[in-house]
Amino acid sequence: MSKLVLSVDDSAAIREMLSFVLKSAGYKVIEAEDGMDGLQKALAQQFDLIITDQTMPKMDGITLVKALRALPQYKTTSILLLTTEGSDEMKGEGRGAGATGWLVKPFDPNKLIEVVNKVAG
Amino acid sequence: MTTPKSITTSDYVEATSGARDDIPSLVVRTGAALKSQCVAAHEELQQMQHLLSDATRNLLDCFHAAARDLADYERARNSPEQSSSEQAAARVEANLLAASQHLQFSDLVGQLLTTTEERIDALLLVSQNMQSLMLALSAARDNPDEDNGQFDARKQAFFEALQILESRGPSRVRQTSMEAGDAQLF
Repeated sequence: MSKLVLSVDDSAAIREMLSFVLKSAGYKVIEAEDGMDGLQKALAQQFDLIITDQTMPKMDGITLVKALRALPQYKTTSILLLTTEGSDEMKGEGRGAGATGWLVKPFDPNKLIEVVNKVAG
Repeated sequence: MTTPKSITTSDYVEATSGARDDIPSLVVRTGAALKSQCVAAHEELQQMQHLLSDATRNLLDCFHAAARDLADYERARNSPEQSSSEQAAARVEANLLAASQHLQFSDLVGQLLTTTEERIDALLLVSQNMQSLMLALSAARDNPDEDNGQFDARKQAFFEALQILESRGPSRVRQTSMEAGDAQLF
């Protein structure tokens, strides 16, 4: 049975590219357009992996990570941040919030698949 | 600072000579902020140009490679060797995957455009408030006997606009090419 991934990003192009890459590797993908939408979808069904952008309207990625980690069903689920930001400070914040990893855009599709297979495969 | 009604505007203007004295320093500070933000906006536009140029080149390369591989696939499909058509199909898929990296330029450029737009909005706000301030200063000098609470209000509005401009930092987007970013697992 295919693993289910939640892709959260306010950029439609990024969501489309993520879906394309992950589906080519055999994953099922549900999209959300901001942190709030992502949280609602995560509450509605269980995901095996969540990939989220950081800078989004309504709720940013790190806030989403904290909200998900507070839920018993997402205490151990892999959550990756995929963002344009790559400073050590931001990565530290992400790690502190409970993120599993940090990927800087633009992502290499083969590298992404490798990372996703490692954390959710 | 409020102007007591018993004091005329000329007294007020004289008493707040600090307000006029600090106009030169205000001009210097404003000039520095304007220059800094215009340079930043210019750099962001150059950054966008690099990203677009890099993405376009790479996407064209992917497009041409996919077109060649598709032609190979068509030829291989008619050949008795199944493996060569499978290899051609795999190459087409690889080129499409590669293109997905460069198509992300729209997100990076979109973020840069937002930052530059906000920067220009802040520049316009300072420009508008500076005009209003200069008009209020001119009115205070031309009509010293009139109540000039307007000068304080315009000066306050200008300071606030200047603070907004000065607070505009660099864009979060530092990428100047579509080279893939790093990936780190904690």
